[in-house]
Amino acid sequence: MIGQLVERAALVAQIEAKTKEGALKELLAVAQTAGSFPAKTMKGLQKRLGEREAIGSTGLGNGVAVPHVKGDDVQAVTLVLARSKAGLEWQAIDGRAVHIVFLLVSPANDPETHLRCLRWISTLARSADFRRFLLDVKDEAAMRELLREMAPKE
Amino acid sequence: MNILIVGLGEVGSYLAKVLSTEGHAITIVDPDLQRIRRIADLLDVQAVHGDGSRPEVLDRAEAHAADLLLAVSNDDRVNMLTCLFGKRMGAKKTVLRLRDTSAVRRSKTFFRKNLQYDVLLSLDDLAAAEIVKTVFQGQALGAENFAEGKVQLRRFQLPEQGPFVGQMVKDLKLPVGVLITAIDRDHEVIVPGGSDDLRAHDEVFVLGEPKAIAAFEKKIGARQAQARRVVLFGGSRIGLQVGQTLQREHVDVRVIVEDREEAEHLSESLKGVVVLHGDATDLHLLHEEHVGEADAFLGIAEADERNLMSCQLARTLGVRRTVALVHKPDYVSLYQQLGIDVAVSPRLLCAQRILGFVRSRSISTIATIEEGKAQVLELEVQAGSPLADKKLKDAGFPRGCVVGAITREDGTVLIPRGEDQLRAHDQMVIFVLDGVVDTVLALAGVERE
Repeated sequence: MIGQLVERAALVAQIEAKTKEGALKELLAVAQTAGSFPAKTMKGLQKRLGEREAIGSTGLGNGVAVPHVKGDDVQAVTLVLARSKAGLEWQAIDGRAVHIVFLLVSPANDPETHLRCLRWISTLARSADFRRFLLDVKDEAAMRELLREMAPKE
Repeated sequence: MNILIVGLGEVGSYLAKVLSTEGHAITIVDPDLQRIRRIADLLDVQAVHGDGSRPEVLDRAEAHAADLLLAVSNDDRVNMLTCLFGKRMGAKKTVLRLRDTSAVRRSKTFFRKNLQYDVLLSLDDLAAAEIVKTVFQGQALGAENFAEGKVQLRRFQLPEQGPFVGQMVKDLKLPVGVLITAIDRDHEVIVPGGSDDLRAHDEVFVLGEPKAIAAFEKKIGARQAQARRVVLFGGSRIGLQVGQTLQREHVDVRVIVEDREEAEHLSESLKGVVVLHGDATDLHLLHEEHVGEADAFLGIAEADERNLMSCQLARTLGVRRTVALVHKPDYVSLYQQLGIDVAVSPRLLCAQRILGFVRSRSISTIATIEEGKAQVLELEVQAGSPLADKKLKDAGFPRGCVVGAITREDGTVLIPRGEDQLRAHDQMVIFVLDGVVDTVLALAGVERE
């Protein structure tokens, strides 16, 4: 299952937005283009992501944020992994700027898969080696290769 | 992991946010309907409305299926009952948060047995330990306190040329009461055997009593940067604990307390310490007491605003380091912007300790080194365990771990050698490489989640 998530993941080598709100919108649009959900669902998901951030940042520390959202119209669990060289202000736990964003969008009717993906993502987020390699690699293809290496053998 | 969080105060809601983002199945219980609705909706967690000290509420929250039950409300009595009922209903592990631990402290075994908790966390104790740590942070790159500050783990970098560089571990003439538990060499953590040598720039993890560690620090030629004069503002339980520890370590402490009764109570409990009754934001008093010449000023009274203001004043007078106690965790990042060197939030400390348990999948974990490459575990020698009455060297601990300290039931602390004998109810502080954590837990009869 993680294997599929990795193969279908949308990768963004450099986030263009300069703010958290902008980045969430940008990455959600990437997920939409990748066929995760219909265009009309976009606004609702964006609102929920914003509300979620308002009650507590998804910045887990060490420069990583994991915004995540579930929706009725979402076809399949989708991961967007993105980097920001300059760093984004995310009100993270440790106050540091965020350089790596994992956006996870899941169908509302499959909470199990949603949680399993989040658990895997949080182990990646806590690996100093993964963070360093991810920020070092050249392009989207190399980012996917790294994710494949980190996926559990199924 | 199935995690049941009872009480959505600062600690509970912080944990719900982080743990749900890390992919755990969370159920929350709280009597405040509005609060619980809002959090449940946005965090995607199961919510049960009600009083967590009532069995029928815990039943609705499926306490029987919980791998971990966190009793973290702001009410000690609720937390005690939650732990007790939750464990009886089948929750695998329970964490009990208490504000006031004075009763429990007098008879630890009795309370542990009857309340059936696995881990006891006190905001006051956590905060006091953290504040003391900031005072003792000399050349050490990091410090952890165990056994109520009687044992410390500190990390030092060996200089280019020093007394220990190039020597084998078994030949080191270490001060009595310290142990080199591990070496961090180029981000690789190793537990050294007798014939391993120490190299320049190695970071060594030294475990021992604070006084012995200070002797080690001196020996490797690290500059003594530890605070010698400290002014403490605040007469709370935390203030008392910090004052007692600093006094024991021969730090010159002066205490300022605003309430007369508290001042009298404190001067009785802290014999030999100057306790002043006065206003810590009164510049005249601060001048008169030469606060500006102190190495550290600790603003640790009850009111956040008073702590902040007194720290800022002390800073303008020239104090080298200011430490403020912050009860509202949201303020923590703000404090650093306001020029406070260290902001200590008891609630955040408590939540972070619990996060450590979940992330390492072991509630015995009291510290994590180099992002999980090694852990410090606190384990009890249970009565009837095969470990009891064995000599340490025969107890079967694998390579890759070091038993660094033992606290006996009567409160004495021992930095053990191979010949020392383990006894039932000993609390062991063990430094363990990640690869052998399971083996060590199994040896102590503890199941990993």
